Amino acid sequence: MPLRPVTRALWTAFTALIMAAMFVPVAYLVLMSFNASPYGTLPFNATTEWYVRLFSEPGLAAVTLGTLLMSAVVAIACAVLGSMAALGMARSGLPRPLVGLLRNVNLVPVTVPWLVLGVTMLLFLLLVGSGRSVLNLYLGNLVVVLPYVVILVYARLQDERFEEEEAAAQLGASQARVFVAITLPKLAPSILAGSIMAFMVSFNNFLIQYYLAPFGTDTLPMQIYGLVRAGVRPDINALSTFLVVASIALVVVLDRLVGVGAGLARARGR
Amino acid sequence: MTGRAARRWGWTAAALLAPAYGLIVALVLVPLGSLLAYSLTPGAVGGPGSLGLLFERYVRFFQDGPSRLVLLNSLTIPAMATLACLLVGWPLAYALAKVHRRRGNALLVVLMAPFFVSYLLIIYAIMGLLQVGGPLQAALAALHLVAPTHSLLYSRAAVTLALVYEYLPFMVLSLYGSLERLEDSVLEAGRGLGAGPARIFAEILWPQSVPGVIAGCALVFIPATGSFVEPQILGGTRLSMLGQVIDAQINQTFDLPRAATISLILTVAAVAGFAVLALAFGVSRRLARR
Repeated sequence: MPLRPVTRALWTAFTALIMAAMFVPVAYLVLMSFNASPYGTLPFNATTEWYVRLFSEPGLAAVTLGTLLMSAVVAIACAVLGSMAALGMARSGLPRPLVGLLRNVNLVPVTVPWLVLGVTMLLFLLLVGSGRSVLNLYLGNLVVVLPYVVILVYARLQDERFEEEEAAAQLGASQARVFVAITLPKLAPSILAGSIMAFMVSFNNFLIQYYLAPFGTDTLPMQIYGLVRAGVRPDINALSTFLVVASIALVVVLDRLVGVGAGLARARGR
Repeated sequence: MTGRAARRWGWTAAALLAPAYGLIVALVLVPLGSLLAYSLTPGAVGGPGSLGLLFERYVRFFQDGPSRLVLLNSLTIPAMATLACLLVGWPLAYALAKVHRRRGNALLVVLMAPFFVSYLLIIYAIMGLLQVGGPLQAALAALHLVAPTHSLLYSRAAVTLALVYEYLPFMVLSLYGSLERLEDSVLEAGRGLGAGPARIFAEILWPQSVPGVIAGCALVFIPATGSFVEPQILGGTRLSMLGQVIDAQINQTFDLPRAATISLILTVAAVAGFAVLALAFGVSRRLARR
């Protein structure tokens, strides 16, 4: 579509402005992590003191590792269970209305506010005599992120025509062999994109963790919340610089590998 | 397909679906259903001033002026944030899908990047930016837009701003999906027939984007009604949302049935609020198509 150069330049300026604005908070955190002011205010005087302090913070490393482990377990479980569910919906000849119902049920965990979901799970678990525990923390995080893999893998199964599967089956390949050799590789990018989403969301899901983590077990978001409540703390800036760099690197690498952006846009547009 | 094959597929489907949907049913659907039972349990409700009603906790909630105000905040602040996301997100999605289409997907990923950073940190950054002497407050003070000692924190605007930062990527994603699929030939046909930009927007672009707008509202408005950290950190003591009240029942007063009552009120209010938004945008589409 031919646009006049002026119009095009205006659109570019607008896009750049909003994109830049979106990065202001992140840039501010990174900048202030190197600033001597303990209140996150200007003027700027360079220091690395907050990084030194961050590394001397007791227990932070253990909490970070624990949260990473939880998110990894949740992401892997989510990849397996979510792909199974997507295959079940797309490939086992279920009647269409039933598939529609399953798709809607799948959206419930992402549409109910996470606060309500966390509180509801806690209340129910208390009702059945369980309550806060590590197992429930893992399961609660898992159920919230299952939809991401289901949506992405189901979308992929709908998009692709899998003629090779039929050909292989007619040539005598077993169902298992067809699945491993043909179906799984085709689904892999979507499964990976969904599990990464699951990993990131679990890692950051403060509200679910806040209500399901056993007393005395903190996750990283819970620890950050505790620090933030105490006011502006420059060592949080140092911590967030690490998280910002790690998250952005992960997103960029993954997009190069599997096209997370394109996959997401497709899934959301449906 | 023979009867036997159908039965075999039925079992396969059940086996594939059971683990994921078992979890969703056991940890989401059944607990949501049990909220109602929880909220109706007799108990601490008795005592002085008891009305002896089955729905006593609900009646009490709506009789209480401050509670009603907090409920109103829980709907108006997310509504403001949703409209702000739409106002900024629609032109942005259009720019990504139609103007910068070759780089659209890459830019979308860039937009998503801050979302992958913990939202607690975004809230924390906004707290630092808006405080007295924070860069944003200082800039506005230098322009004489606010008094030098006037904090921008603890206001409706601060909470709304944090919500816009958190949820804008979701709004843009849904809009991008619906705008990207619009064929250029349709726009060119419109132009060829002499329609100006306003008419092309009103009669082609907007109606086409309405499903994305409604999906975007679901992804922004409904989760935002359950905000807890945002009003807690940025709203101050005067501005509360229901999330804080629910949390107080769990972590301070230990009144679990009341927590269930308010959770249910919040859920119903969130869905009703979304329905109003969806209906309004649905009507706008029908009017445009006329």
